[in-house]
Amino acid sequence: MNKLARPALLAALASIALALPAPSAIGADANAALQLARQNNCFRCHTIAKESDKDGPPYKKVAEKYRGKPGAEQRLIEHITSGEMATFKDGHKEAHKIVKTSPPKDMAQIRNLVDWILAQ
Amino acid sequence: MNAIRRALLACALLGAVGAAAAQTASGPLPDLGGGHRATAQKGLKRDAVCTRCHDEMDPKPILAIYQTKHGARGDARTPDCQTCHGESMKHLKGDPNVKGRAAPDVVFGKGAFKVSDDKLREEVCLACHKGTARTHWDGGQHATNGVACNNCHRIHSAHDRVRDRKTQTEVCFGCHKEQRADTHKISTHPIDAGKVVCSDCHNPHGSAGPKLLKKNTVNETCWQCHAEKRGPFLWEHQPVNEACTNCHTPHGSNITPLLKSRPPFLCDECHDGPHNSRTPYGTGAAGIQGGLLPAGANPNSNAVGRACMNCHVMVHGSNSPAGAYLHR
Repeated sequence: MNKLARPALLAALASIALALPAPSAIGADANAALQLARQNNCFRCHTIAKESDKDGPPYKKVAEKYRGKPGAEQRLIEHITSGEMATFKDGHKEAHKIVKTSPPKDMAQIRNLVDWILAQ
Repeated sequence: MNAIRRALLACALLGAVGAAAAQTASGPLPDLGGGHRATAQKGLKRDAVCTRCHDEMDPKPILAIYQTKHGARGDARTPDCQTCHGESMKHLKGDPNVKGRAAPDVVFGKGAFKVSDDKLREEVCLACHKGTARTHWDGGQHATNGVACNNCHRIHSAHDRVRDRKTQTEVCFGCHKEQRADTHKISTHPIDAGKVVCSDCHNPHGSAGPKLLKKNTVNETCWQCHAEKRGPFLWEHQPVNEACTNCHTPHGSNITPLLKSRPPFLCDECHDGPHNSRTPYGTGAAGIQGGLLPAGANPNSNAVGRACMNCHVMVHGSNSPAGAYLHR
């Protein structure tokens, strides 16, 4: 391989790497995450990517906010499992719904959901 | 050519006159509340308060209501979400006294919130669906046993199972399990075949007759189909006039045709007279019915085949001048 071709190859590899989802999302089972989100009525307040007048932010925005930040996954797990207060668009505060799994408190399912959100 | 032209003109004039007369006879279409477009927009705007969150991603197919008559937005009489579920301001704006999201004013189905009282749920439906077949709802067996409209009807579904003859019995048999078992007996109305369904005889919304029957009496209900049993007869059989259920059980029996007991025992319940006393044939009569006949003897005609109906064939009533024995 000549010296001119090597940088081009590296650039191509880098662009492929950037196009791939974040490392945490590689392991996320999108179907399982979607199913869990639907079962817990997450989409009543959130969309996946579409801008809407729903109460919660689209998952894409959540992912953008937390992308690359250390402890993002743990922060979101805390958010959806502790029932902490969430502020709504009209200013009122309400406890965020605690995501339920079957079997109960299956952290693998919760982690999968969070990873999927962060991958949007 | 002129003659043809005149004939065509005459036909056209006659047609126009006929059309005008027909329109006058049928009358104009009902006014559905002004411009349908404006009505639809107004309704959808009210719905949007709810459909903002309860959209196509909802685990329940909420939006399927637009495939039903309740979703005909161009009609001003059509309810919107709030008509049935209430304004539900606490559900929308939050309630500091409630952990998480507060319930809507009226909750119909099982889910995250406690289901509203059956009286409240039925009141919402009866606000529009009153009168006619639902006149006798109050005091009916369903109303007094806490069954509300949505326990049987699916409001948000394009296919309301209980209003479809093919699936109606599944809904009723969900509670009425004894009747379901009866339909599997050897003698039954063709319920499993889908030819007869519960609402052919019963009005689940209340009735002036017994057992939520459609008509005022058992006989009137049965005569809807079995008209030949109605009479009037010259020679009547009194229990037939009284109620078909004196002898028959309508949902199913192992004794054809839908009989409550096997003849001659069924008949013996009233007729303990002439035949019995002279030629006993019961279980205690030397086992005749069990086949233990004396050599060369014939079985008693009162006990074999159709038993009493071997001779008294016109058991529902007779018009024969031959007499009152219902023989022919």
